[in-house]
Amino acid sequence: MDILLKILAVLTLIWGGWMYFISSDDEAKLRGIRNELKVAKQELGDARVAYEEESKKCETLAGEIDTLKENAQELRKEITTKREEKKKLAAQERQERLEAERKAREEAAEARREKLRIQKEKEQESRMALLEREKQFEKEEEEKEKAEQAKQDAEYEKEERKERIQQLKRRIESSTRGLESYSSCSAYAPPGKKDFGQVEKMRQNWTSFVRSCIEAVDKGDSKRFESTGKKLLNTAKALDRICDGRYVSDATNFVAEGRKILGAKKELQELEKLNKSE
Amino acid sequence: MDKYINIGLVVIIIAAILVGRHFYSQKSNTEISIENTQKKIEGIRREISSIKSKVNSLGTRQLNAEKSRLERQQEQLKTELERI
Repeated sequence: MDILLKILAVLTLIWGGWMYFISSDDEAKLRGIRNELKVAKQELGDARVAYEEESKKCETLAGEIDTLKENAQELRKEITTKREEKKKLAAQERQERLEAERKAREEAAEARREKLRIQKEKEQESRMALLEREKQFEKEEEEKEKAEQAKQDAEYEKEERKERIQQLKRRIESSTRGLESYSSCSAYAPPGKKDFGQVEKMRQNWTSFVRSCIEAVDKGDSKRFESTGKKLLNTAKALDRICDGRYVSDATNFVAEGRKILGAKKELQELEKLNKSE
Repeated sequence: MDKYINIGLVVIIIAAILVGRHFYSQKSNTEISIENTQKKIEGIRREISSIKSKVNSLGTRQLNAEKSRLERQQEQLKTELERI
């Protein structure tokens, strides 16, 4: 019985000790797990804080991204506007350049045309000048020829005039001598007529008229010659009525001859005047 | 003498039984606490992983990348604008 009690006491003590050991071990485990729980809680808090921070950061980022997107959109709009402006400007510049080129081409063409026109005008002027010179030369030649011809003509005319003067002089001289032949009138009254005194008077008149006419011819006084010649013709007519002669014919010839001499004298005077003037 | 020894042994046995029982019950409670605490820890870990996945799902990296991309794009646009 004692031994049994002793064994039982030992066994119970061993069991109690074992229980103590196990309980202590579990306590230690529990403490470790509690520490782990504390750490986990701490991690959870950290994760929550991080989540919140991350959320805020995300919101900030989203806001920034929105801002950046808006900015990008604004920039794109600005770029588009600027490109359009640039394009417009380029188109305008191109238009202006084309316009300027067109103007320059037109001006160049105009200048070429002007140059060509001036060149043509110059050529025309030179041709005209050449023609003018040729014409002038021909004209000068012609004038020279004409002058030469005129000179020759003048000399010829002078010669002719001289000859004509000589001829006229000779003719005047001979005609004047011829006129002298009319100065004597042989009229007489036929037998039986009582007009002897009248005939005589008419004969004297004839002679005086002829003389007067010759003097008029000598002086070149045609007026006197005509009036005296008229009287002579009347006298001749009267003589012819009385004497049945040829006095009208003689008087007519005389007057004609006298007129010729007067004409010749006039011509001679003109020719001599011409000679003097030359 | 033996009688007293025996009484002492009985007392020891009773005390050992009581102490053992106490420690046994304490052990049981501790095990329950450990189990509960482990469950709590698991819950917390799940929650932490959930938060991490949420954080990951927030896409900060992508947002940062998008921001960087937009910043580069803005710089390019500014440069183009200046060029224009």
